[in-house]
Amino acid sequence: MTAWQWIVGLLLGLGGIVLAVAKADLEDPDVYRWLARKLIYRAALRLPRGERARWREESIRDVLDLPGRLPPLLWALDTYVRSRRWARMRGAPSRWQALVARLRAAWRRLRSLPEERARARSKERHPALSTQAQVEVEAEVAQVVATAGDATVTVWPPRRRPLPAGWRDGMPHLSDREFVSWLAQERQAFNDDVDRRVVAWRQSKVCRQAEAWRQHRA
Amino acid sequence: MADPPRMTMNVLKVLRVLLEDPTAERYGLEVGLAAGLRGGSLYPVFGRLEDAGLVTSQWEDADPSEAARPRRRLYRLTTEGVEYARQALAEAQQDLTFREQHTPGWGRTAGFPAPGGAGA
Repeated sequence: MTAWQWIVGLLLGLGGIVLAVAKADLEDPDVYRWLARKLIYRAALRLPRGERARWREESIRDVLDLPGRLPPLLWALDTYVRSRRWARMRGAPSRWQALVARLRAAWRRLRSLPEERARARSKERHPALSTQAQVEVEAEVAQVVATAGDATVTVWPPRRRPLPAGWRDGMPHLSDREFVSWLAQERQAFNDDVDRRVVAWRQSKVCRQAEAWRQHRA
Repeated sequence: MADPPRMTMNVLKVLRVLLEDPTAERYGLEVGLAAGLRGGSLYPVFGRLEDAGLVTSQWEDADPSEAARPRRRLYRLTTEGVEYARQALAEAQQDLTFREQHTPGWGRTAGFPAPGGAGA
């Protein structure tokens, strides 16, 4: 046997199975009622939203009361075929009116895209909270701290100017231990002062960014 | 009464069936079978008659488990509906009689010429 014969035989076998299943289903009266119910549901979907439930329930009850296989199906088919005109009588828009309304809505949405984008932008996070802003702040803080390491330029308190050589000579009353303790206190005060200035600078930067953001939104 | 419905043949058929016993409540399938209408023609007519106030409807009170069937929607002519239906059917009957008298063969199926007509 050739490949084509195998394929045709396989298709014929599958077709036979499908036909047998379909025949068995069509002998079942529930299939007709199921089809009728589906048609009624589809017909009711064309009606205005507020009236769908009532007419759907009533139609289904009438269909279920009909005896036999085909009468319910024909009743439902008739309801479905005429449902579009019925829906127009009940105030639903026609197919063309619905299409025109849909096209108009799409056109309006297209026209309002810039506004939607502006609205989306306004919902973005505050720039000061963005990752890039945080990175910039950290970088500038690191730079400030590095500059402050010279203890001369930016963050050195004016009242703590570098003392001239031999400055300790003016403090003979301090022993070595007391001098080390004083030096530690001075270093701690210096570090605290640097931290305080960094925090103040960071707060001022955030405030400036917030002000710029407010002006941008305005 | 609200705006009267457009008087079509289907409306007249339904009114005639409901007018057989104006006090009785009938459900849609019963009216449809008696009037020779199916769902696609019957429900729009009921909707129009209800909007015009000629017909009222309500769900059946029967318990579905006791009745062994789902509840039905029952229709009944209102007082105005009875008067309107009688008048409309009488007018339709007069109109039909007038047309029959002045247009021989009117209402017959196309292809069957009127007896004694010019084309016969």
